[in-house]
Amino acid sequence: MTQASTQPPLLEVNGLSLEFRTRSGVVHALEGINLRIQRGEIVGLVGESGSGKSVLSYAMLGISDAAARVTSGSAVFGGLDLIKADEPTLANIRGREISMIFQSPRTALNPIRPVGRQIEDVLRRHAAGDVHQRGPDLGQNLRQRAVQALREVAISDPERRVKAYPFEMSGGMCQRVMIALALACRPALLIADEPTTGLDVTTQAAVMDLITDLARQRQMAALFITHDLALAADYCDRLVVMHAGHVVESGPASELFSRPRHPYTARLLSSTPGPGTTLEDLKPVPGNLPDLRRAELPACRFAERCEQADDRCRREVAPVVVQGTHAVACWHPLHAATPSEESAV
Amino acid sequence: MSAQRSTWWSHARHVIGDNPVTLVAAVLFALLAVLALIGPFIVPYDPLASKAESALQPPSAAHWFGTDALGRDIFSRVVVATRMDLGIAVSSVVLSFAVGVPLGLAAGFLGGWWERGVTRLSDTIMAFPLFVLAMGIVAALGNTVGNIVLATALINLPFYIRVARAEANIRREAGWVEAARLSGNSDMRILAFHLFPNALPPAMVQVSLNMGWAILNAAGLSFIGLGVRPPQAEWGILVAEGAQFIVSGEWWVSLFPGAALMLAVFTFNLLGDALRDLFDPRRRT
Amino acid sequence: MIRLILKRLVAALPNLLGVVVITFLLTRALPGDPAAYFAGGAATQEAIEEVRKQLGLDRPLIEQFWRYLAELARGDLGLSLTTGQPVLQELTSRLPATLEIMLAALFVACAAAIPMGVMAAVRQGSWVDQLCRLITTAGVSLPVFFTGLLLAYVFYFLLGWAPSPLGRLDPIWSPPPTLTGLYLIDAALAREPSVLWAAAKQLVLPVFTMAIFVMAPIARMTRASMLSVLSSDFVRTARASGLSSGTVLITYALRNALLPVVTTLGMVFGFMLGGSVIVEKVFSWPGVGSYAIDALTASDYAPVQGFVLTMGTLFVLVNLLIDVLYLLIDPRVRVES
Repeated sequence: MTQASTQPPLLEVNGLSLEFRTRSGVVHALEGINLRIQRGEIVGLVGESGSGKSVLSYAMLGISDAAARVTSGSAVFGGLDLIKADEPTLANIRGREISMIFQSPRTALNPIRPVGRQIEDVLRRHAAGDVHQRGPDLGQNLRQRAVQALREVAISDPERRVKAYPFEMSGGMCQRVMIALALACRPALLIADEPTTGLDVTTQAAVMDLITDLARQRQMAALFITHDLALAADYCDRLVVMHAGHVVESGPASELFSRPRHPYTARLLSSTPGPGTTLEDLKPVPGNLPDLRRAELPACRFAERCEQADDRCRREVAPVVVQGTHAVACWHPLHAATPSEESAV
Repeated sequence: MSAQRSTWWSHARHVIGDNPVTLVAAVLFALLAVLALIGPFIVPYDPLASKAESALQPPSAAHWFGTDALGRDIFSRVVVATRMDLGIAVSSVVLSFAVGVPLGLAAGFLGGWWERGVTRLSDTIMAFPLFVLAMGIVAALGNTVGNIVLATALINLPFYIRVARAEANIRREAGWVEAARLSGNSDMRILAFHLFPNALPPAMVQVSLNMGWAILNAAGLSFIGLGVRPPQAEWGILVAEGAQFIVSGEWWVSLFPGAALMLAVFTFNLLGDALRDLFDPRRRT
Repeated sequence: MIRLILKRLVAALPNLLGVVVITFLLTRALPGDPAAYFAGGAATQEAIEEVRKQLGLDRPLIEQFWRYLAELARGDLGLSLTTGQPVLQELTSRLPATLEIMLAALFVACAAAIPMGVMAAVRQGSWVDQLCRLITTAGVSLPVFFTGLLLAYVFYFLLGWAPSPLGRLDPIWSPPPTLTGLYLIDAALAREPSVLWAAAKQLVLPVFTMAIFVMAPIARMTRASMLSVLSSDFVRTARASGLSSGTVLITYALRNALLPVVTTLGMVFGFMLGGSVIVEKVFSWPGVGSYAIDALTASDYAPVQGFVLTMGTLFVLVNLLIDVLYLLIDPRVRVES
């Protein structure tokens, strides 16, 4: 479960804003993002496609598109601001302290390189620090570690699989290989960007189980990016809800589910099927994501889709109101708390 | 329909505005076309008139491009050659198009033996280095301009076949053809009125690129002595006539026709790229 | 693996047959009377009939075709009217000269075009990218003969750096003992550095002319392929794993990007076969191209047909070679069933 919040967080994102310069204008992809991940915590980042979830993770790792510019904010990881860090520093962190896995695992692996070699590449890159492992044994050593990495993600017959190519494997197995690749150097944080999209339901569950088990075993924090609210609720300790480049609500998964405070979260929940829901019960979230190229976006980007929105919502950015570990940014939150429970941030 | 046309036009304007080089290409193309049409009427000298005394004179006010070994004005010869080169290119491309597109459409649409036969023909032509094949055809059929046109048309056939077949295949696989058949259209009608217009845009891109190629091909053949014979003016022959003088320093005899060649091919290539951007923005290089 | 190679070989056979058939048809499509052409300009009517019977030109087409195949199998490509020598012999003795230019040009072109294409893709919009675009556009617009003449003018006449474009070797040197026919290799093997140097100097202009000609498609393909690979998912994964930019660029991006480039080399070779004819004419190079041109001008048809057959066959074989090479470098292709 969540660590006591007295410990400094593993990753703390503060007021991160990012924009894309494109031919058709500036896209304000992220605005004022706040996010905290504790050591060993499993956090789910949820929201519609296009809400900026992946953009956020790319920005943290420094692998954003060339047209992206961080305009303000910080992302502090282990005392280092990732946004201000230079490329060599970031390259050392990637794959070693923070790892990332992606959707479509088969295309995310080098198609003409045996998977074992791809894992060895990562190991070799980050083994530079282990000087005593240099020398003729290094190759042998790396090979064994690659086999071991495959074994740890429950791939059967790893000695043979280590020489296989991605096209020879199923989607689920490729995802396991990606996980092995990402976890080979025992990172403190794993970012999983839609890891189950494109996999069938049974494989989805297997992959999620694998990730969460490994995370618990190694005290590793994990950030699950997904648009599947139900999946996130099942596996995550905390959820962070994003809408159009804003974080609108965050809190413990169970609380968010039972008492969502932001109107958007509530609409998301009512559009997510669960056991017992019928088609009539499902209500889609009205409207579409606003066009983020517009210069005069309303302060609350959900205002145009929200029944409770008023002028204030459009003009002023709502402050984040925290209730325990449950935070929400809204002028008219649902299940409004009593003043004694509230504390504005 | 008018709404469609206006977006097409604004897209065209966008492409041209985006890339002013396209405008330059269009202007050059117009210039070439004009020269080809009225060139022989506006040149200062008779391109065939030789004057031994003024042989091999460098460019001057009297002779803008200088004179060649027989004292002929090179400027006039280069301008007049525009008609020959463009004429060869246009004829061969039109021929290629007229034969290749229907063949390709039939292959893609009808499949079966048609497709196999046409593919086999196309592959066989492509199995040859194209210039060598052109040489062989002209050698076999005889050393005339008409055969140059024929040879060039033949070696460019596979490109039109391929483009047309691809379009027809896409439509066929998309069930498009089934729908048209079901609504009562005969095969011929489908080919002519439905498939052909859709194959037109990529085929037009091919036409423009091929024009450049056809010119190079004709010039290359003339350079090695096939096709156009002296004293006719064609850019390749003009370069050949000047080749021997390059090493003794009379550069102008070859340079101007060569530059004209380059300009013409360049224009058609740019035009082809612009057309491609116009019709298929995904394929911008 | 062997089975896959054999399959490729078998797939090339129809192309080979196509080359033979077309060459055969060309020999029969001569304007006027083929027998008269083969007999020569000065032949009497009797001599022409004699030749007609001898060459079987009075027999039905199918029979002629079988005869043609038999002749090919024997290596009989006819006699050259102008030199009186068997065509096959002359072609084989001249082929190394042509190949020397082509191979050297291919090497130079790749050495220049591939790095340029890579850099143009990695640094989009930079001067390298613009240069690359310029070269690709100019390269496909420049007629080969024009480039050759221009280079000869600038580097021989104006600057005096290159030797006179008179062929493979300055007459004061004698060619090295023939092992491969490629002067550079033969001179190196025979340890004759001065001959090597002299041959290399003569090669510079024709090789660069040819290289400029083929650089364009190679650079364009490399750039396009590299751009596509650099934005692919697996390169993103490689970056996200912290791999060094060198590893990402070479081991992950370039190796994948080169695959389509290898396939392009087949087409490039076709261009070179055609372009070599012109290059040989410009630089008086004693290869098969100039042999064919001389024969053509003299209305000597057997060498021309032999030439077309040779070039066609060479093209098919090179494409086969590239197919097999591709088989070896792309593991995904091996899974064909």
